[in-house]
Amino acid sequence: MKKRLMILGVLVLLFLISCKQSPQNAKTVDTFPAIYPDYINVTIPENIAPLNFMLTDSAKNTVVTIEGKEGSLTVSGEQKIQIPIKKWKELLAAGEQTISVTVTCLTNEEWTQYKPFSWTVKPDEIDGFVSYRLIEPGYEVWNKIQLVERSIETFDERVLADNNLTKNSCMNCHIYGNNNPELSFFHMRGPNGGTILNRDGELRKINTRNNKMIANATYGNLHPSGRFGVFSSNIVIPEFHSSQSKRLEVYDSASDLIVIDFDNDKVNTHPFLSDTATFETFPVFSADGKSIYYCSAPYKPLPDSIKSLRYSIHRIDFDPENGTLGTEVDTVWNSETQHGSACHLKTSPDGKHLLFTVANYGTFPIWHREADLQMLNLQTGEIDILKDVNGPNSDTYHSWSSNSRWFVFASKRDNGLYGKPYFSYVDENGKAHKPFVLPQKDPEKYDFMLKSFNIPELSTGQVPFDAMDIEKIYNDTKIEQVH
Amino acid sequence: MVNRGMIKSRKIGIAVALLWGIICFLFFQFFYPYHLFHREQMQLFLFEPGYLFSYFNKPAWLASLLGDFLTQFFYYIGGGAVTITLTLLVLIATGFWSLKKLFSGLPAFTIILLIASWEALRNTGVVYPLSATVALIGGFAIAGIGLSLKLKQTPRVFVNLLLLLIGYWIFGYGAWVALLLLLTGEFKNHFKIISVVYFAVLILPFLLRPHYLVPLRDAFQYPMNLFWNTPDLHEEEIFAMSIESDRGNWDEVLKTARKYDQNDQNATYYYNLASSHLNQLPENLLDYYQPGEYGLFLKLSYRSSFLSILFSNQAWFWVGDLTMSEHSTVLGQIFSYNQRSSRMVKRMAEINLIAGEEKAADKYLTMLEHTLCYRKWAQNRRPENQSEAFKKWIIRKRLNCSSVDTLRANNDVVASLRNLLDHNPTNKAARDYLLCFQLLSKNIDGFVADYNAYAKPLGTAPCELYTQALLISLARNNAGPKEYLAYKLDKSLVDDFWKYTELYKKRDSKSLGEEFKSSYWFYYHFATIKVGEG
Repeated sequence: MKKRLMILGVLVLLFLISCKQSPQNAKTVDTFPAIYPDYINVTIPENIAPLNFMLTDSAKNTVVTIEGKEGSLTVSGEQKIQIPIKKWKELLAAGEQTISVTVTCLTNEEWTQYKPFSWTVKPDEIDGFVSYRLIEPGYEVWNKIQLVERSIETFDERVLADNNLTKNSCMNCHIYGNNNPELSFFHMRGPNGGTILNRDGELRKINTRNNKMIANATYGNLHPSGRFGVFSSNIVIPEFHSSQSKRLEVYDSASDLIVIDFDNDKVNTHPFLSDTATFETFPVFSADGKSIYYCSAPYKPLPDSIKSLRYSIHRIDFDPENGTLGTEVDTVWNSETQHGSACHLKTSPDGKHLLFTVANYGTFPIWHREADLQMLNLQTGEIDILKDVNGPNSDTYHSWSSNSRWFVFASKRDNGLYGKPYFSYVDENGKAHKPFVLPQKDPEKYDFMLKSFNIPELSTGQVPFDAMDIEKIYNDTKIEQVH
Repeated sequence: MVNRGMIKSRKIGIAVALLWGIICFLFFQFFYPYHLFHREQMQLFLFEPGYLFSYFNKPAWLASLLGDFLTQFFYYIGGGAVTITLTLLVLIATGFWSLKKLFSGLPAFTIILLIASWEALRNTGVVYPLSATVALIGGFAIAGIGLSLKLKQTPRVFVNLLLLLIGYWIFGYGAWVALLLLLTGEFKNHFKIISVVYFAVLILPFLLRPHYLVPLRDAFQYPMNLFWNTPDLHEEEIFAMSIESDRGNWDEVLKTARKYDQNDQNATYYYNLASSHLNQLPENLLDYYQPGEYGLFLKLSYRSSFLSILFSNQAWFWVGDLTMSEHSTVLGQIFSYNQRSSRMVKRMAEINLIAGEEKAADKYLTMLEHTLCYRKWAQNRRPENQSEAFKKWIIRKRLNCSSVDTLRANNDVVASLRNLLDHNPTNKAARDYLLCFQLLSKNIDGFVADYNAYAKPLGTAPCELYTQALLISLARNNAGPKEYLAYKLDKSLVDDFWKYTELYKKRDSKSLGEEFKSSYWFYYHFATIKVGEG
């Protein structure tokens, strides 16, 4: 009996040993491992969630050694590598450092050690939260939409608005003023809809269209003071390309600029920003709130002239005391000399840079493969084409971190269809580094999603409302009318 | 004697239940199979941890998980009828077991048989989830367990409350069945006020709603979405055409369309699509109900029905317009149950394989590889596993895809088809669809322009339908003999045209109807175009 037990014990031991194989006599190769997401040699903030990843080649077992300045950790798995968050935080607590990541895989009964890659950790923290809209890449049609707030430091997600609770009404993306969670807005369409304005936690529902406007308020931005919002009012036309790879073109048959004074529910405009000779769109305030940047193009008959429709970037003075606009317009980026069309402007909070998207033509770049981000140095006028940042598909819808050291943008680089939030570091010399996708607890999550991450926006904290508040305001709150 | 009687009753009960099951099976297998197949196609059950864990985000996670898991078997021929029948028999068994604790055999059996029949009828609903049936089974099971407890009243009430709370969490609305039965049990056992604590379970939907993010009504009735339904055999015929078309059985589609001859836009859509696949579109066109041009391409608008949206990608895919096909497919996906449709994901994979969008195709193939029913389908479409026949199919499809880029509005069918023909003038499907579209919308000038641009250069004689339309144009323009000759028209049709014209001038509608009912001339003069919104 004793002998039998001993044999059984040895067998169990052998079984356990065979189950937990460790790299032995690994063959070293001079190539990086094939991993998804592509986290090879990226620069990350010290407050980021663990960069979980997976081997894209079939591996029976994978061991990853992560060596930092003051410690190391080893994580193993079959193909997925999920780093324990506590140990990860301890590793990153050492501050600025270069972490070395060594991947060793068991494939075809043979261990292979790949060339180590690095994670450069920067002490400049990124804002702790990112919000985005989850929506199918269904062109102009929706059914179920959620606005979601995700913690960048952990994997926690919170739904800010869900149109399942608001009679399936369409919801546009959630935009912050100065990365401030206490200052934000989004448009909610439908019979009980309106622009939802969050100021200091107080939610208001406002009809931001008066009878002089050509359409609803569409793209917009909030003044740092929270008193004003600048919006474009666009008549949006979606049309389809016959070439499958280009899919959809969205253009405006008319567009104007307006400024709304939320203290007085009053719309201000200027004749030359609301005429029919030019299209104006994508306005934003400068970091100090004393200027407005916007895109503008001379009128063209559309869609026939769509390929020659190019938007330049202009700047106009703004008086934050009374909400009035200046009379002189500066051209900051000229579409004719730059041979492109600009859209989605975002000024960095430190006032040094203007980040925008450039496509070959038009005003809606999400299906333009060539659409790339560019960064204009507002002090020197220098333009950085962000070679290390842009991918082979559309890169657009970006937002700065409050310290101006990071930006997030939606990129379709992975499959051309679904946008995902990528983050890039901008160093003290203004150089942007290779971006990395928002890490997920399960690195395979993106593969099984049928939604795009639309318009990611960074904020320093959690917004003071949730989906139930939005349901209440949709159903019960009386709408305010601007005049 | 008593035991023998009980055994006899039990045997009769089992026999009745089995007979009920046989009827149920026969109905779903022979009268309603396509509905069940369609229900499977409107979900995408993934064997993937993230997907499986997502069930915790909605009420009734266990019922939903089991229901959706079982719905996969609807994919197999006979699988739907067997699965539904077995599930309903489990409902009868579970229900009888718990009701028997409250009532004697015959009433308990009668009640559960009625409930199962009601549930069978609800399962004829196209969007009714099997998880609702599982929820009901769960409710009866919870009640049965609660009613079996041999405890004193106070502890029993609290254990039952716990069961109800768990019941709501895992079976959603099934918990209300359990609540009803447990309360009935308390009444039968001399109701005491402490039993009112059962009602505490009603707070749960309010408490959990912020987590589940569902409207209040859904929080109470999840996963059930309808109270009553009766079989829709008309819809079954539409599904028969739709599913046989997906299987590539075009003869069967045409046969079904002709057999039922429905005045339905979707039926016409499949009739025309099958005719085109069988190279008979202009020949067959006017032998069937035609709601104007909307029987060729289903119009997409905010008023379109879900089925029209779902079916609309097929015609675009067939003629080679991948952008419009993809657009329609994404819409089908968006409006399907839980925004996940296996059929739409398959179509997305095909579109992207044809377009050479390997990474996008890879995404959809990866998803399908994590399913029970489509794993092999997806694996066979991986570039490394593709058969020669499949590779040739891709090449053939690519020939029709336009390289000429233009912009067009969503419903600008003519611009889309002209674009395809400008790219590939030999695209017969696009040519017939374009010419038939012009004819059905009674745009004779447009038809002639397109015929001259895309058909006449081929140098072949026009088919009967096109000849009839060309004759209208020639007569309207007082054309000379040379122009008639240029089209190589069939002389007998020319003679028919003059005969028709004479009858028309005489207003002899009876003779016109008798002799020319299937002619384009008759359609041109008498058909009233309806605006189809599906």
